[in-house]
Amino acid sequence: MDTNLGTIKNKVHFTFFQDGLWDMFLGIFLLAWGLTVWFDLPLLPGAVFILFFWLVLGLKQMITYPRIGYARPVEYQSRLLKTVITGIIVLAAVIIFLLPLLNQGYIHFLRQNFEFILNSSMAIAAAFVGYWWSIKRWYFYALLILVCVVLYQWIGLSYHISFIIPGLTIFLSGLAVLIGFLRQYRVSTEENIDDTSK
Amino acid sequence: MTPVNKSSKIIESLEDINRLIHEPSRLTIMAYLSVVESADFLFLVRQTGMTWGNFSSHISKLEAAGYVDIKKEFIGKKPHTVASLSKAGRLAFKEYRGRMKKLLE
Repeated sequence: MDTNLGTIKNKVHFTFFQDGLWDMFLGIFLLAWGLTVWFDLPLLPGAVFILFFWLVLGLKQMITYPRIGYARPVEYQSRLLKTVITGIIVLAAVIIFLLPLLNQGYIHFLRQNFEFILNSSMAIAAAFVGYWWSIKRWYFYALLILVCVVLYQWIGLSYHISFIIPGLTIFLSGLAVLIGFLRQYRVSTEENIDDTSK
Repeated sequence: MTPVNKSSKIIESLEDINRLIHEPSRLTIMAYLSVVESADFLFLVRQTGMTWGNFSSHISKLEAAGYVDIKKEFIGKKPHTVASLSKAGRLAFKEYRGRMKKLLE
């Protein structure tokens, strides 16, 4: 039995991503961005974000909690807040300190590199999730998003493809995790828990 | 300090260790509950790898000692029980960790 608090914290955090639903959410969100760019559907990412966010929460109630139970983390809100604040500070630092060094007007630079900044921010957000919740595959997602936008910026890959490739990959990865999760755990109640243990 | 004094001090420190928490299964339950605000029984049984009977017996002892608060409810017709560390439980666990650290350093 492990009683190392650091390991236990990591194990508890891991359970939030054990079902792959948040991976699928990220994948669908990126796909929505790709379709927005491709077919000029400006409202799609916002609509997908809201709809699928609630869908994931509902699916967690239906799929995840009856299988592995639920824990409310002490640090959950403060960690989330820290992540958001750190993300904002990093972006603000980039905008305030880095851009003037490039000897270009802010607006001009932002317009010229908007796509790169947007996708890089998503990659940074994915890396933050990987870091805060100790989920290593999210580092790979961050890298994938970054590589695709680099290919767009300097090699000439279509912008919508730079969303669709990582979006589809991440969605499929999440789906594979979900299938593995469903195979590993059966629905349990307190009455039959010993029969459904791993 | 003479060797005799030193060893008697160690024995005294060992006697101060909270034996209720010191038992490995209960220590594991306390450790899990210390990093969350609350957790349901299913989660704790899955994470600790204990059998239901073993888990029930240990968490009952922790509840009787006032270290754990237990809330029972029904979701549909199925029982659902949520546990959390009480204030006394958090304090006792903190003290236990402090004593163990001191003893082992």
